[in-house]
Amino acid sequence: MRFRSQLIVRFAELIRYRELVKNLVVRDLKARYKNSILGLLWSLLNPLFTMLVFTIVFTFMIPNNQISKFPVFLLCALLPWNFFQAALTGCTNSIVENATLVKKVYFPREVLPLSTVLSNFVNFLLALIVLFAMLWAFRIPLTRQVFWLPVIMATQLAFTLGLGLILATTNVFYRDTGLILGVVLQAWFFLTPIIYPIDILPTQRSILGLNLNVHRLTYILNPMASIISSYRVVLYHGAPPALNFMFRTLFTSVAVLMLGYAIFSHYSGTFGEEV
Amino acid sequence: MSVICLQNVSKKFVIHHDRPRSFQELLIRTLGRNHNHSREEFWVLRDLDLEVEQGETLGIIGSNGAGKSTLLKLIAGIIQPTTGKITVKGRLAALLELGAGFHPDLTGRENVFLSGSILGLTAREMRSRFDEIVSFAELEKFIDMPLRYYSSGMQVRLGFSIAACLDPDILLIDEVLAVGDEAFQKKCLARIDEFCRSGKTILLVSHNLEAVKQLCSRVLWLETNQPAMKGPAVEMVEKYRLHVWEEEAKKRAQDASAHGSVNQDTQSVSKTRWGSGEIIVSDVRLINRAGLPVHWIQCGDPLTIEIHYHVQRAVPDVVFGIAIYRSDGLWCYGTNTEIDAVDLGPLADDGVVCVDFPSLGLIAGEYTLDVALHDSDGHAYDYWHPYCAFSVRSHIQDVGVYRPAHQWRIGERRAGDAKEGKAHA
Repeated sequence: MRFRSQLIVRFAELIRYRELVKNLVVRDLKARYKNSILGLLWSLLNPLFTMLVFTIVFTFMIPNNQISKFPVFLLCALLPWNFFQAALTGCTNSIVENATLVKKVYFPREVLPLSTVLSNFVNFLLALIVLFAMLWAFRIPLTRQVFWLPVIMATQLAFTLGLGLILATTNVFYRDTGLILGVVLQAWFFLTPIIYPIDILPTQRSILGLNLNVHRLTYILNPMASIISSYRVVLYHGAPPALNFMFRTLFTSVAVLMLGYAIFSHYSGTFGEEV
Repeated sequence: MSVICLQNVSKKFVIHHDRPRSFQELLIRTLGRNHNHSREEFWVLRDLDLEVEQGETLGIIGSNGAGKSTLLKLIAGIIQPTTGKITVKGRLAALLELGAGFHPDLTGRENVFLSGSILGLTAREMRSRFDEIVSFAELEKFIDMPLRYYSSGMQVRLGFSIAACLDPDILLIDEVLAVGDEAFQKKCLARIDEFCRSGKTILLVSHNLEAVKQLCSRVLWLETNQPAMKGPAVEMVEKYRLHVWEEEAKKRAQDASAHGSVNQDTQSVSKTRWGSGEIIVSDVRLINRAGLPVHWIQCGDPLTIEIHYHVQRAVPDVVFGIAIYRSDGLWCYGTNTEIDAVDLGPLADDGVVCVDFPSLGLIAGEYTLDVALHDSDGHAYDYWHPYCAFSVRSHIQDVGVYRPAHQWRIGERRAGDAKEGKAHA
């Protein structure tokens, strides 16, 4: 009970510092785009280039590809993944990178990972412009299902921030968190249906004598699989998302966020001396 | 009404000498079964009780590592106390570092808003103060330039101006006064003085004891291995000075016994010495009223400076000189045997020349003494700049440089009274 009321007090204080969150997001974005006129363009070109590489690999080098309009198919999943990856990496370093600030000024520490996630989110929204342009270019019509996007985004935001808060805390005490995260993210990328559709995962597969439903396991164990597939279903297929899994994922994400916030809150009092 | 209240506050720092700083080390440690955690604990603050009243200016003094900054960080909420309770009423701004959170790619204007929000202000509050901040920093012309083109002085000025225009109820200041050029430092001090007079509560950590005496009414003196002391500013500053001198004297005595030499003078002063060395200063002693060698005297007391010399090669023309500087470099006084037309006569190989001051008129403060042996053209045989430091102590709170003999009287000017110069100080 006391723990919960503490969280509420913290949250109220965080709201008082919303101006700082806004300014930090603006700082991040301005600093990113100010140094080069190509800054904004570059952040749009980067996913396009990745898309091009994967398209070449999967359509010319591995030609028996059944997926039509592969570039859009890929981009629908690649952009949310890029957001996830950039936000997590940013969060991990957010406290350590701002050590001077943390040591010298009092403010709610969660402002730092939060603003990192949000500035990457703004970036993601900008990149969506390219995606919509691609959808138009490949004559994929937008359906009413697009209105599911805010729910999917909210789910992803909650999950990303929750994990980010945990990683930011861990990195204060163990500085190689970022290195480990790099390796984990790479594996995670391939375990998540980004460059392949989730439907190709087998429902029956015998591994070491165990009969596993890999398709279902992926859905259950990997929230990102559900989130990424939802983006793709809504944008590329124009179909309604699998509500069952989507709400389970939303629930999981909110739980991760609460856990992350609790862990972060518990340790953030010592950041001033540990960082 | 007390706005800051500390009850039984202690802070312990733990140094883990071989705590794993990465998962890699953690893994190696676990696999290697090497579990000897050597850790060192030390208490920076112990059972500190403190109440600061609304509108009070509290100075915090003490040696390095005594916990002054730690105390401010605790009050600001940057770190948590190990035990005890801290309550703070009102909006608090902590100036532990100027320009914290500045980003070089943003313009001065953008940084002002960013910095303001780090200190907890809304955009509207910042907008209403923006012009004042810029004009106080004298940066009108550069405010829309990216910060990377600012000189460090300009950045510091901008940082202080933001802080100065915050208008908090409680202001914590940690040594940030030692920034900028002299004109700007004066401006900062004036601003803090203004804060004091407008009823703000201020906690000031400073090594500038004169500023502390001027600005603060009460002083908290923190020292390692001794309980914290609180009291009137002047009294505490003098006690602290006494403590510093005693510590230095102890150290000198230790050094002397370690090196086997009689008098290795104050090591804390950075010395320069030059000269051709025909005749050298072998020792200098400050002798007080009681005839004892000292490193401090009471204001108004007599003082004798003994200059012991040693002749290496006989030279016909020797002038003995002394000069007194205040710790901030002000040249208070200088004289020599030539100016005072003293006939030294032929010098022995080893000897001593003394200067007697019936009353050294300097007010309380820190001073250094230069001692020089040179010829009448100014060619140096042995020149010490400075030779040693000394302090003058006083319970009188007068200001300035020296204390001329004087007395106060009520009534008309006594025309032609020739005996007026008699002083009771």
